[in-house]
Amino acid sequence: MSTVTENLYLLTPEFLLAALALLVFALDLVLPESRKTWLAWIGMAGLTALAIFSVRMLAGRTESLYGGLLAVDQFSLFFKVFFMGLGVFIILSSVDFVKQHLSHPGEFYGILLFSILGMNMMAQARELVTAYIALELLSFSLYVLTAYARGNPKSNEAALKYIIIGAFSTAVLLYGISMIYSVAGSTHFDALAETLSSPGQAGPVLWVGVAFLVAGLGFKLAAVPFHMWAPDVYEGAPLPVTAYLAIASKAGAAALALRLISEGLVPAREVWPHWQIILAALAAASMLVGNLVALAQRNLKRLMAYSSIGHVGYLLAGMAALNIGGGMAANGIIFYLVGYAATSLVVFAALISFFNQTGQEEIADLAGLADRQPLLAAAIAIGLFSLAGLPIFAGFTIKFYLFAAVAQGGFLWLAGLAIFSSLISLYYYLQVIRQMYIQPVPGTAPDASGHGEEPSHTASHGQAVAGHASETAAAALRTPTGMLLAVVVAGLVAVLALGVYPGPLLEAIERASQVILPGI
Amino acid sequence: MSLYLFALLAFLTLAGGLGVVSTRNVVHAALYLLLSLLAVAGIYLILFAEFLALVQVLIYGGAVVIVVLFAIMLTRSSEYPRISDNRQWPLALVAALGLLGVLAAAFLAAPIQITQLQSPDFTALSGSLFTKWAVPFEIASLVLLVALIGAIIIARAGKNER
Amino acid sequence: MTLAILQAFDASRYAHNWTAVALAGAVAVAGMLFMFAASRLLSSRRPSAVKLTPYECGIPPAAYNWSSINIRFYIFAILFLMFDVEAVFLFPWAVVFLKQQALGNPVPFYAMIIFLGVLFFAVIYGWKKGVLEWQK
Repeated sequence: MSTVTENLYLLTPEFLLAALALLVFALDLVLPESRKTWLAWIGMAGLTALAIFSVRMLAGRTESLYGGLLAVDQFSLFFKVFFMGLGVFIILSSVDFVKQHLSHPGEFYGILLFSILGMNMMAQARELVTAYIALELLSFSLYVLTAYARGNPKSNEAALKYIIIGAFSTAVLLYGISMIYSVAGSTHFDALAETLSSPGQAGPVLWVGVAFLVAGLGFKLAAVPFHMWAPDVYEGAPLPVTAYLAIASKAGAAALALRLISEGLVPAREVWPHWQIILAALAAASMLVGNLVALAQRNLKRLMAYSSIGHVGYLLAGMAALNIGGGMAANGIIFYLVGYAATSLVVFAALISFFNQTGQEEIADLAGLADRQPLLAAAIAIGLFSLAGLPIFAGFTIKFYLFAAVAQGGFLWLAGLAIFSSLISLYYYLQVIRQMYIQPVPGTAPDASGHGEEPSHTASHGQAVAGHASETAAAALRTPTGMLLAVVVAGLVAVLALGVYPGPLLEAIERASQVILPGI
Repeated sequence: MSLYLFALLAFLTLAGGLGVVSTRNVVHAALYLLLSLLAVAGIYLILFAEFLALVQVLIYGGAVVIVVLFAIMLTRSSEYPRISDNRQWPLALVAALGLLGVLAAAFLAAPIQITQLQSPDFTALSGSLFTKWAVPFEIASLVLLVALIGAIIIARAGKNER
Repeated sequence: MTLAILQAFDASRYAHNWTAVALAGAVAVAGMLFMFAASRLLSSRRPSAVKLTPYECGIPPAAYNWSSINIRFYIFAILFLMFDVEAVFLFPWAVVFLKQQALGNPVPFYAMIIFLGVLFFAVIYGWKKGVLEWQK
């Protein structure tokens, strides 16, 4: 019994993160309304400190806790630092937005911290039940965050759709877990691989269980055909939450899926390689549907939603290639996540800044942004070029690496399809850039009808809405405020750095993926 | 004997489930759900899992259905709303039957090895719950906390609203 | 995670106990049905407008007024749900934690303390946010 608790201190970062979140909630109860921004700073400082602490404490260690329930290793350390860093940047981007548009600012940061804790546990889980409960922690936090703009009916609708579909997908996931347990006798990922490999035991029940598992995770990742919730939810949620959904929840689900596949399915590749085809089919569908439907979008958030579905398609293609490609594919997936996160942060931070100043989020509203606010326009343009995969930006390196891994993993057709869909995506990204750089600034035409969402009642100090928007639109927008500017600049630096010199990052990723796919 | 009991309870579960999706009155649907959940508790009892049956009755029958009924009561406009006709029900029926087909085929094709009926020792179950499974247990407490805070944020009338 | 630990399990005793519970439940249900059936069969039915109005302690019924205090019920229901789950976890804990501590393993005790602490914090939070107020 005592051996079970010997290494409990390895979980100190998680305990401290939970304590930080509780601290934020507690302080929220006593701080007056005007000081609530301190909570954001406390959250950020705490996350940074925890990230550094985790690295100092856990670098180089590979341990398994609780008889294989949790794994504290380089893979989980990498993702923990990644998630916490992401949290810092998301909080930075959202401080102004929350102050202007949302009530209950304190809890926003607390719930965000809990969701990061959920993602940390997902990266550490080596076993299905722990993964499930961590996924639930993440999902509940996201449901609440999606509903945060209470006065906005779109936000409520988005949260309702998200909750119902999320609950249904969790039920499917649980049913799959129960079927796997009934055959394998254990919920560990290793046991899944073992049972798949032993022909006496593996049977249709196990395969259907794995299929349900894939379906449940596919919902969380918003892969096609489980993606129907994503556009509405992304459109209705407040912008920082959309950014968080697009980046972090995908990264968390992808980390979990990566470990699940590497430890649970890849070792059985001699006996049961069929899961590859399933993942490849999902990948192809996601790439095509995501990029094709994005061509028709008029709202920026919906556009980003469909584009993120396309990106999930690329991630799934990498996961399908894990069988033979092994290490390169795993590296490619993790690298893709980091690059995608940096790029999306740039785009979303710029969009948040734009929304803070104008309250608009349609593509048409970006008209003439290059004249009104060159820095924002440049940031969005670079971000979109990177998402499309143009060279010297991170998007090119990550796509090159991942598609090469996919091709090497035996899925040449999938890599070709991925390149084709990247080309398609270039079109709609260019649409946005065209709006910014080529369209004229809306002059005196009061074009700002109420198509942009009205912020909630507690919105706007000094914010011109609707009727006067044309005036402020025509006038030059202010440069983004300090925090958003910091995020945009940091993101741009990351995008360029990853595009040109990804070496050090790739080494860290290599160490991470060596843990879950040893020797492949 | 337990076969007949199981047949009865399975029938009640399925009848409850069918009642939930086919009735027009939303409160009736909640009560059919209660029937279904209690029948599942009975199935746990047949399987000698007393603690699980207790949990099922307490949490599902005792708390979840109450919350559902409260939500229904609080969101009705003038009287208890009728569930509107969902035009897609034929498609849903086909999908459900397809799922049933797949699951039945899977379960019948390769029967799961049947063990002796056994009862998990409650002390051992509890012991492992708090030693080996302590971390998921703590995360569950955080899930509850987030759910409560979310409910308070979303449902509470703010000071400057409404 | 193979959990099943066989003990000397007495299936007939088990069935015996639960049959008793089922019988008690059946008698309760039967009694209730009997009362409904009896009142149906034995009473006269002559409804009038006054007789059909809902009973409110003899006073004329007030109009339905379900407006502003509703949400409080819901928050209470959610709080009840949370503490119900906590109670469900307390049952197995009560069986186990003293013996574990005697064996030198303090983790179950502190695990539950943390759990209780988190839910206690939830109540404090609700209290400070005013959800426990009954009046507006």
